Amino acid sequence: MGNASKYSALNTKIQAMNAKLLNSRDYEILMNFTTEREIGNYLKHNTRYSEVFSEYSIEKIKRWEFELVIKKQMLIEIEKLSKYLDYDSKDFLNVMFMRAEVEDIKLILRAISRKENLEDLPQHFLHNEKHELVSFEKLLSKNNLLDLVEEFKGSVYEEAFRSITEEDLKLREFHAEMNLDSIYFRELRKKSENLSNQDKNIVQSIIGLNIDLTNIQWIYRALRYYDLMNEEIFNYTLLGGNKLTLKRIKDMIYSDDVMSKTILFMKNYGIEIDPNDDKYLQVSINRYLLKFIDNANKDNPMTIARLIKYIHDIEFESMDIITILESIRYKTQDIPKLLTKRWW
Amino acid sequence: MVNLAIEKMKMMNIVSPIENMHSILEDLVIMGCFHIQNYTKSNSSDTLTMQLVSEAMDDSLDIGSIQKFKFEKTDFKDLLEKLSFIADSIDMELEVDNDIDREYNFEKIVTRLNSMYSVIAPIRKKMEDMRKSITEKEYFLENIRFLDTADVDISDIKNMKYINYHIGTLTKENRIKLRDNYENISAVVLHIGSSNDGESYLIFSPAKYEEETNKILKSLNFKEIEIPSDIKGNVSETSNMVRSQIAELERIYLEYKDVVSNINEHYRSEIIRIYSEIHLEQKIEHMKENVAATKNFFYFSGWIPEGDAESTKNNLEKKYEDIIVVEEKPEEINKEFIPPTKLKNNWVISPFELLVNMYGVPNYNELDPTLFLGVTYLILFGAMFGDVGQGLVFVIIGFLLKRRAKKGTDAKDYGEILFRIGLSSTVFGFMYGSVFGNEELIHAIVVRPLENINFVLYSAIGFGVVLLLISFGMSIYNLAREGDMEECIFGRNGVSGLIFYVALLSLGLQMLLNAQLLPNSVFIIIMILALSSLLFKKPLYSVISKKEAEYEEGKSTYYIEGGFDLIETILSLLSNSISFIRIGAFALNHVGLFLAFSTMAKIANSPFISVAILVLGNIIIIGLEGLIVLIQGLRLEYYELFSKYFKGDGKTYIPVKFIEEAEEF
Repeated sequence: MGNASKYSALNTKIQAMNAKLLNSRDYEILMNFTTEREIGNYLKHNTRYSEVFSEYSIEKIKRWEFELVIKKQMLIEIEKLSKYLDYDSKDFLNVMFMRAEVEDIKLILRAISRKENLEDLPQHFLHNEKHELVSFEKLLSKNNLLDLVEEFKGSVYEEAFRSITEEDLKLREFHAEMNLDSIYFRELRKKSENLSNQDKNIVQSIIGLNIDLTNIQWIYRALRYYDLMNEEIFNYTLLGGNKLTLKRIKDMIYSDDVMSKTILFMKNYGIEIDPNDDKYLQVSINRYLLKFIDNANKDNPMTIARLIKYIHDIEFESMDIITILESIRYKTQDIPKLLTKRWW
Repeated sequence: MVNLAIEKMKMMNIVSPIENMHSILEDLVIMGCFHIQNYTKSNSSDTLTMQLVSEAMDDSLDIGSIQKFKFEKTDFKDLLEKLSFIADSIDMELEVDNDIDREYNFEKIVTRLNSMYSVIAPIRKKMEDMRKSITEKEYFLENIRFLDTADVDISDIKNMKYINYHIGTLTKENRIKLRDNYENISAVVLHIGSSNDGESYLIFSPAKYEEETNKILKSLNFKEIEIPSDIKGNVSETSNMVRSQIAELERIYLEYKDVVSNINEHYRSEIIRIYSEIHLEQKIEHMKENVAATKNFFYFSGWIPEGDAESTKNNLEKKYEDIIVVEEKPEEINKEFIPPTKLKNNWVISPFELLVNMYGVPNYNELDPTLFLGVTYLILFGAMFGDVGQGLVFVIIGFLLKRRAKKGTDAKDYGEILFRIGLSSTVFGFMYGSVFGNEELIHAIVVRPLENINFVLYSAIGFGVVLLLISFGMSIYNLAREGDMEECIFGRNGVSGLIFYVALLSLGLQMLLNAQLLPNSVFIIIMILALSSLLFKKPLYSVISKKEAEYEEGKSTYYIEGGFDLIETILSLLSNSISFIRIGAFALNHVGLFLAFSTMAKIANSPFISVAILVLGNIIIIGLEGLIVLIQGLRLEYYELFSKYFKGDGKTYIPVKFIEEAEEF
């Protein structure tokens, strides 16, 4: 089947769904609100989020519920789109659900390390049972790390837990997290192998870019915030970046002016960063990614790029909404600078 | 007389005090002929039943307060899990015992099951722990076996003061990182082999850099293997020691296993009993979900075949004093309750119900098309694929398939169908005189298709016309039964349509044969009249029925649509008829395809190749053409015929039974 006919239904659907994304006017209105309640009501009555909000009363909704609902909308939409895909592309798209699952696994790990009760956890879960790669029912019945790790045996996540200890959970949260991320990216790459050649190339260049950006961010944060040895920083980086090969990473880490090299590298990507005020780092990385995917979409009509673009659109939109919520909570100024979607 | 009607149903309403509910529902499950009618508010209020009930009972039954019965659901999942856990430890299959002792107390069963479980579970847990410990030890062995030849004392390694050691495994990715950054690491890294879990390494590092080493190994996701504390001596001694530990553990494990299976062996018959009872209880609970109740009484209704109604009613009334059983015929109750469909066909035809159901389940008022479909499908297939040898191949495949498949499964029915169409193909094979494509072995009883092309094609259309006429008849009958007189008289599949079709056929035939029964103009006038009655069916019918005609989307839309409808009717009648020419075409095609192979066989150089070509040809014909003919036959049935007379919007009669057919062994 040619790509044009393969994607015609999907792209039509996306086109229709695109029209329902928040536009600059919506953003403007949301930013001008002064309470979370107003934002909730606006989303509930004027946007496509109305369905997910329908079960909630905006008056009573809790903060974490609010964020969860926004994120869930994204998964619902991905699920909707997956119906328009053939087997291999669907298989690839399903990895997206793994992200939610990984986030929820992190929640369990955190609760275990703090010796908290796991009973209340499920209501915070983002993932959908349908796409579970590991049984959460069983995970939740464990109350110590050892038993928990046992449960991951045989699943894709096994490798992330091969050397984990209680101490790691407390002192090295990044240990489990980086390992889980690495599995996620590997899974993405693996499933992308079955896509058509054109799709595979597009997807893999985006994955590679993602890995580069994750690595450079990791190096920056490790230098800035954690007291780690060079070897540790090196070992935690992910394989498979577009530009940052192991050798380049090593040269960078072991050079004398590693921080300035890191910043320079980001600058090449158009990501400006000020080490004294790095709160815009994530946003500028997201913006770069979005621009890259946008170009990929424009250069490759009738390919999977359109779908990837849409998924990022909704993901960044949900992040933006959450940022706006937080800004109101903490009375932050210059909100537009913190939003990924640039309307200004 | 062959019966084309669907099994008659009666609605049975049962009212009784709530104490009797469990027992009555249980009886119904055991009887196994009760199709649940979901409880809705409307089927309880102001029905005949309720009037009768109120009259019969002094108790002022408050019909207003009747509502869906609420009860606490049993956690069957938990019970079944425990059961299969126990059954698993003695390798027994859980199966339902037909011959169930009905004098049981469900609560006692649950208690008994739980106590059985509490005996087994701790032992199994212990066994699992042992298994785990064995796996760990085997893992250790696997990873140090590469050092077997080294003459090193493990305790010496352990007791080193300035050098620390690590044994463990790395994944592929991290190996690359270690290799690429080796010069920055102050340790000696020895690759000692590979295992399932990755590559095994023995690492020595200065004791004073222990912390750094640990951090680095951690960041490499290094999986450390502990040397058990009770281990001394050199590696081969150590290995032997661990091996004997494993053997010991295995021995104890087997002992435990014996104990468990001994205990469970005692339970065996009890487990089957408990399983059967839980199974029954599940079915009862399923029924309960559709019960309505007031404070003191419960109300339950469902469908039951007319033949079983009387005996069921008698049985219930004999057993329970205070029970009211009211039967109602479908005609007597609200139209919104549609009786389920139970097809009744003899064993020759019944497998074809599968093909009917694939299109749709006949509704309660329709004729059951299975017989018509079955007979015609057999003829269609045979005519298109007539060959003694190839037909027998289908017979054999069908026979094997139906023997292998479980009762009540689709595969079984497919086997039966294949068996029958194979026979039909064989019969037609004799008529065409063809055995595995060879036309010299036997004489054709009727005709050789390729030598009488016109005859074959004409008779195919003739046969199709007969089928279409029968379909018209069935459609008219169905419409009349449904009470849709407008369609029945003036519809395209009703009398008007039939008249038009017959006139069209006669005209065609007359012109073809150059005969003159009636003047052509008479037929043309009949056709025009029939067509105009199609177009004006609403106003015409309103005259007959003396009711005002209703146009849903306005008059003009009705006539525009009607106009298009006319054109479509004419075209589709023509194409429906011509469509049957494919029967003849495939009969020819069947011979033609073989002809190609036999020509190839003839010009082949060696007799061996000739035979191979003929065999291959037959396989291709059976596989490929067989499949095409199967589909084409079905297409004729579904598209040309079903679309005329069959709606298929019914729902299947599925009574709640203790043992479903597919569960039987």
